[in-house]
Amino acid sequence: MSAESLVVTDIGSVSTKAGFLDRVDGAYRMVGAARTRSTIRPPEANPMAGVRRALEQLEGQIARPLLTPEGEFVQPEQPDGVGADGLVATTSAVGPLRVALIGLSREVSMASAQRALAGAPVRVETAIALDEENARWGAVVDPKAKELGGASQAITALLQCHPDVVVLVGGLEDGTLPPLGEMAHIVAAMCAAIPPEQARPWVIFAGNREARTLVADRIAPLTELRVTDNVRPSLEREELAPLQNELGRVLQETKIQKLPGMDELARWSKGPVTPTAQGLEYVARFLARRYGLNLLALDLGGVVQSLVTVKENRIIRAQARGLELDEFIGGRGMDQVRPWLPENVEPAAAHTSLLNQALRPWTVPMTPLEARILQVAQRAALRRAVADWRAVHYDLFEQIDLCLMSGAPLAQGFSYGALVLLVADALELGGVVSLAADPSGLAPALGAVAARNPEAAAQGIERDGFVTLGTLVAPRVVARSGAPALQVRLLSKKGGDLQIEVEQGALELIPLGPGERATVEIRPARGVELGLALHRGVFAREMQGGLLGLIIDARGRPLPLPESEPERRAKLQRWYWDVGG
Amino acid sequence: MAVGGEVIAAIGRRVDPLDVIARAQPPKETRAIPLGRVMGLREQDIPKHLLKHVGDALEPRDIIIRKRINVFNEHLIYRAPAAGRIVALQGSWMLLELDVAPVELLALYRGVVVNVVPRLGVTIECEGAWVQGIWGSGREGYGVLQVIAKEPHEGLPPDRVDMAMRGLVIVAGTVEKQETLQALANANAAGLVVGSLPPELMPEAIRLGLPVLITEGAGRAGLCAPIYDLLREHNGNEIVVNAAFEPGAGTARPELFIPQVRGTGQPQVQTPAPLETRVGAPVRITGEPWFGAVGTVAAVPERGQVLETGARLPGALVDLPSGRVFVPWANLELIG
Repeated sequence: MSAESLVVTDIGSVSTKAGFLDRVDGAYRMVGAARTRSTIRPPEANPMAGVRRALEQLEGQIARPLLTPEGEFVQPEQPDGVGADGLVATTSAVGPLRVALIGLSREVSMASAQRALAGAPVRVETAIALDEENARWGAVVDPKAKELGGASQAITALLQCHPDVVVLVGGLEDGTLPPLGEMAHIVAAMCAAIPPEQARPWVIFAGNREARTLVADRIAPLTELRVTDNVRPSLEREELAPLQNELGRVLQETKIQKLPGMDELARWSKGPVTPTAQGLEYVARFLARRYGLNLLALDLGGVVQSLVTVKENRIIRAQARGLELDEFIGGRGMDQVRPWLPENVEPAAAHTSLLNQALRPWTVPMTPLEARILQVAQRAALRRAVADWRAVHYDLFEQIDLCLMSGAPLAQGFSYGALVLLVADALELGGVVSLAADPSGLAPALGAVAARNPEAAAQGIERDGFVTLGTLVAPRVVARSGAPALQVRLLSKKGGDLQIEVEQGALELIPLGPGERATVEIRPARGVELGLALHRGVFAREMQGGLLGLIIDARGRPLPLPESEPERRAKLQRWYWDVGG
Repeated sequence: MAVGGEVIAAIGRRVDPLDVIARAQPPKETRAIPLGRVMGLREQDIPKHLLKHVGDALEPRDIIIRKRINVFNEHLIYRAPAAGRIVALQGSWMLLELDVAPVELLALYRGVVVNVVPRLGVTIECEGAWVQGIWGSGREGYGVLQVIAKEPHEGLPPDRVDMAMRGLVIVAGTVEKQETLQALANANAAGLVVGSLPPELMPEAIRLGLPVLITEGAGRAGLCAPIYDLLREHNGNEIVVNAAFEPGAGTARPELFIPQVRGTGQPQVQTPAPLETRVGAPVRITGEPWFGAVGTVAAVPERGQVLETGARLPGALVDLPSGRVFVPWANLELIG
């Protein structure tokens, strides 16, 4: 029997959120949401303290007890309304798996593996391609030489990086096996060198299936071995998802489940805690399929940023780190942030503010200036992530119909305008893109509900998972700065007719409220290119409103940032004001 | 210890800060040798040519493997490049661990060993005053506490540093010049405790190898009053500065510890009451515009309040000397 009332909770590295899903007038609605500081770190060093605090806040909102006086979750829902029928939990609070990648060929199996790892919760510490070793296969090495060549050095690097997981890839199907055996020997030797009382890395083999027995014979006696489908079965085909899925499982077993308190949470949820990125993927796949859209879902976490795109049933996952504390201590972080500072923010003050934010990532900005500084850092971090992601998937952000945004900026009080500017600038979104945000931070947890109650998940996501912000129209305007570029006409369904002239380089917000729709006609000025399909010289489409309305972005792509620092900072400040930030 | 070794201290033993409680022989290098290719041998022939085997200790230039190459009894050999041991042989790959100078782990804390983690370390129980910081330069220091600052926000200029600070842990509100850190390092000070440091001085503290602990954060704020008062009370006492710091979930914060020295007539150390979020609780604010301010919880609104940024968040009304302000829970630290 499906659960009727559910508590959903997400434990992030910075904040822990909780929501209550219940049937209201025959449909599932999220009737309460709470947020508190995560307690992963000392002094509590146990996420359950944060979960209990979030549930206590939720109790106050929904006027219903969820916990016993001893702090135990009450399930199922009692006849007097106490408790809930179940609990679903997601988490992004664990750090990525530290991975060492070993493959046969840098250009073939390793390249595919790198693309798979780019979408998995991992940090690649070292990558060794056996076809690059100095001592080529079969050559005799001079025993008098002090250095024995690249393979030896590579293996030393492998040992010194102390990975959580070693990923072995290589060998097209029906390919030669001895090199894979050699690779397995290397990894087995590394595992054997680690004393039993220290943790040995797990090993995932994602290569030629005919080599599975060979690899298992060498490695399985020494450490945990997992086997998945070949990440590059042929030169023409690659299969990334099986390796990504296995890494997700390993993350769950080796890190999530081993966090203090997670066994208690798993007992409450009657099942393993799901990684947040996986919950977000469920949401993305559901909405893309339901509405027939190309969809991009972004989770701007405090520590990790992740995205999922669903385009014509092809799913791409990607993850990247945010700007980290040691980057701000060393000053490298400010090199990335400085170009984006608006004119009222001094670099030294920004550096101090960001360093303090990095030292206490759970804190929230209390002044507009602090919020502004944090937004700038988030933008810099996201632009760096986008550059990394584009290097692997060059067309990741093209042909997007709907962009969903979730994560830390919303928790930290970013205005929706500032959030849209952050994402639009970092991704350089183009075309016509509908925008929605996850204000409660619980959309991924709603995705994870699908396994328990698909109806509740679907209705919760559609009705309460996101707020509609509106539609971004970002044509690839090419015109002289300040010259009239676009004639925009808004024909509202309610009967209004609004006409606006938009200059090259401008950002215009046009009111169109939540639930409202309008036909938007865009006529480019003479000599101006739009990059959108025109019919008789006009681009026309029905568009959706939202809390921000229509955002006409005529700044052009790539974004025209002046070289001169004072001009650049002034322009950044103006753009911020234009979106009501 | 980061690597397994030998724990010397036993449960029940009283330890002083400079007592060695464990030793380890960390490997400098793990070297992988492709024996098959080095010696021109097939994998299955390697074992019969080995003179040293897995687990054997090695001295520099020990012959590990030998192969006769002609009828004149000449041999091809491979020698150990340094002292160490053979840790693995898999197929034709041999792994060597090569030794370096042993590492000694000092107790650092004065107390009693109550638990031993085999090969890795001990748990020491101790009594005294304890302060958690927010950032440390990664070093450990032990010495005598000297509170230089006459009030919590007073900075330490370079011309006030002298060689008499050798072996002392210096406390000041802040340090603003690189020359001060350099002077402290030159004077062989045992450590520095400040409320804050400008961002550009933090990598300097790491580079100089000076144990530095920051209690408030980056910038030019001084020490918060309760910490300053506590340190002044113990001026001249022995102090440990454990400025080890690693960002990330589940990591302990840097800390300083002033042990209670037991003697006849000294009062028992009182175990402090657990910190609770309640009206009257002393708190410290960890965000602008009141960064580092200390006050007390005056009231806890039922609903979240709207900040200047537009965000609505739960929190508390806090009484400061300058008046009553609303601060979200995320920006409050309980102190006590």
